[in-house]
Amino acid sequence: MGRFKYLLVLALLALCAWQIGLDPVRIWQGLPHMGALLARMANPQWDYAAQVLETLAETLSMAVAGALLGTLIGLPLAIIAARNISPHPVLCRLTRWLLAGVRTIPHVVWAALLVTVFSIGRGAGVLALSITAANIVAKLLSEYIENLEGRQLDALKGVGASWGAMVVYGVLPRIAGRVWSLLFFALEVNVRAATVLGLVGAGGIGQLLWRDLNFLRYDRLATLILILFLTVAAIDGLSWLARKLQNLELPGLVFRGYKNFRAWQWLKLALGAVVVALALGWSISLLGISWDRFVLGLKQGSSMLGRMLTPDWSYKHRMLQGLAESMYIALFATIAGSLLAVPAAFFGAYNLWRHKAWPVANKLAVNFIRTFPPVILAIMFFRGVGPGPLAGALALTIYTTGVLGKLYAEIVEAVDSRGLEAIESTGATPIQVWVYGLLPRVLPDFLAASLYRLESNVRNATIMGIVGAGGIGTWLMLNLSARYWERVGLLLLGMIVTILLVDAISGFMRRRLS
Amino acid sequence: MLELRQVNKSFPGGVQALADVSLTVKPGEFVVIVGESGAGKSTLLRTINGLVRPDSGEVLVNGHDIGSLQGKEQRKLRRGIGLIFQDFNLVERSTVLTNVLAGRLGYNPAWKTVLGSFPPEDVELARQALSRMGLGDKIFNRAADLSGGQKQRVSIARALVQQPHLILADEPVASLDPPTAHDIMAWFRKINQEEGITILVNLHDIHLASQYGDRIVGMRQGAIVYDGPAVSVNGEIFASIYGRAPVGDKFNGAL
Ligand SMILES: Nc1ncnc2c1ncn2[C@@H]1O[C@H](COP(=O)(O)OP(=O)(O)OP(=O)(O)O)[C@@H](O)[C@H]1O
Ligand SMILES: [Mg+2]
Repeated sequence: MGRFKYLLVLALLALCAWQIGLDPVRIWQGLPHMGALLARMANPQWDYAAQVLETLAETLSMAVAGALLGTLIGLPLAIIAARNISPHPVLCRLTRWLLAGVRTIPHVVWAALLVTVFSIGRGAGVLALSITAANIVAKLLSEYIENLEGRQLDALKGVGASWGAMVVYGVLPRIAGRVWSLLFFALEVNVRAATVLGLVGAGGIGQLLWRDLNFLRYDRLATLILILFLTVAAIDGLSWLARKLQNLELPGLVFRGYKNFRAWQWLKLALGAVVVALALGWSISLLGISWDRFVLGLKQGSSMLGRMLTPDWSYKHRMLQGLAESMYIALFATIAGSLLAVPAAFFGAYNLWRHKAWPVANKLAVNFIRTFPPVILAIMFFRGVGPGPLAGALALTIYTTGVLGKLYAEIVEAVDSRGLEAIESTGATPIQVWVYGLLPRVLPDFLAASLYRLESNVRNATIMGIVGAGGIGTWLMLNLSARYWERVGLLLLGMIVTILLVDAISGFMRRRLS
Repeated sequence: MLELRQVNKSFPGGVQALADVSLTVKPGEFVVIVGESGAGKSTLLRTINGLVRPDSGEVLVNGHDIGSLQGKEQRKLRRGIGLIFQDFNLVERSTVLTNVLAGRLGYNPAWKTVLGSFPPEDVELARQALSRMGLGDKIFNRAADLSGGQKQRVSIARALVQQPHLILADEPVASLDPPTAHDIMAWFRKINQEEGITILVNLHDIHLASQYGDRIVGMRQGAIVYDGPAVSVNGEIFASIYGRAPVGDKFNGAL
């Protein structure tokens, strides 16, 4: 039975490979072109770089504003959605449904929809980033709140505290650090997302990307991608620093009396209010959407929604074809990426190597790969294999290898090494130790991580089409720009159903694993 | 005055945590509840302050059935009951003073406390409670910086500012070393004797129980199997509570 399952997975991989047109010869022949693209990155065009940097500033401000707004919106949503502190069970359930619904639509699609509602430009981009960031923050934070010890809240319930007092005295101080790190996590996610939003007209560097891609200016693309890469890496580094900062112990303040203490509390409250107000004001000003425009947008949005809710069923063949292609891309990337991540993890796990140079080099490489947003990677593959699902699948495979390589390595590092020493003492070679001692133990966790990745890859595969890398996104973009809302409605419906279905199946399988 | 009448509570999974429990505690009593792990001690205490709703039976606190009350009425009854836990349940990031003032949350309107504002009397109350517990010099320290015994004294101070008629303590010394455990138990006895606050303490350890309690209630599988003065607990009674004989000379005739 066990063997049979693996054969099934390999057969699935082969089917996907065939469907996306995997052709080793084509890839082989494309390699020199891709090599040339990489080589070009080594000597960037400085005059073009200046232009890129200007738009980069816009992209970054979009990402920051989206992270700030997202966190500010996500925090109250998280408290409402957390089962153990929610003010009302019905409200809690409704919020969870809302969040789950919003989550099925990828950020680029949100941006594309918002662009048509609120006009082209960064406003739509900031809104799209805020929506997805708020969702991430609300989901992760509500899970965190639910994991707080029940007794910690009981202590306040026990003194007869009201709901508001419980939130302020029992929940907020306990989640403050988490909110801080989620803000930066949202920023990391947003920076990657913001680079591609311009592709659908939502401002930022993606607009340059789009132009260079259309005019086949690979010389410029090389410069642009290099700058993007450095930016994403820099933001990741900054974010890491900021999260470290949170653990910094401030020297305890000494208060001379209660008055001093209260003054300090007021000062903190006032400072906090000012910071939040500034963040909010700046982010909203960045939207650049006037109130009248907003109201008009809502009107347009509702008529658009009305048309989307009466889907054009005659278009269902294209939808099914696109969905199938997206699924092939996602499955191929997940399976191939998982297989590639296994060696990456074993070479990257600290506890398996006496000399740490190996894992350090490996971790660097894995982090390097992860830095490229999948859509950007797909564009790089265009140079080798041309636009189409193959480029999308290869890009997503590489990205998946990067993410899973890191996760798998962390799983291996969490394994108790005593069992391994027992096998090692029988004189087994390292490879034997890994295969017989380690793999069986980490496999369930590997599989669970891969299933999570599948969920995320299905979303990624649906948006590959916006740059022409195959899947349902191709048809979505076509009909979005033609404002064919009945068809957009049908395509979105298909996407949402598929994503919910994959999430449900994956969730079921993960529960069976544990 | 506390009275439980035929209280039953089952949890999903078929565990009967409380089986027909009836118990009357007079004002000013010091009652220690003992029993092995899973006997239902915590559930009993949580039922008394309404954190757990019984399936049947009544829990009368000062004549009100706390299990049937809701919202504001229940909160009003709760604020007169101090609650102390094994792992202190302080907010580590907040100051000692803020943790103790939390005991006054039930007495003040939410919108004021949300801004950190408490009436001066409350602040004075917290200050006094802390200096009583020997922590007068720690009021502005972060709770995280205290030792285990100090943290438990903070949570006793939090209970004291509730001006309770009843304190419920769920294994308050289980995370402490023996000398500190005795210290904390002595504090309970002190506030029981000096202020006449009724005290119900869960303990694992029957030796500690008979040393500090006036009255011992033994629980086994959700039911009360012994209820009597601490002095008359003997080997036989021990066996009925724990389902095994006491180990050798550790359990001597003095009990
Ligand atoms: N919220 C709950 N859900 C399900 N079962 C519970 C819950 N709370 C308690 N139980 C079960 O009820 C029984 C009594 O639990 P309780 O915590 O009251 O015991 P205890 O005497 O305090 O034990 P310990 O000494 O380990 O703290 C146990 O079998 C426990 O598993
Ligand atoms: Mg207990």
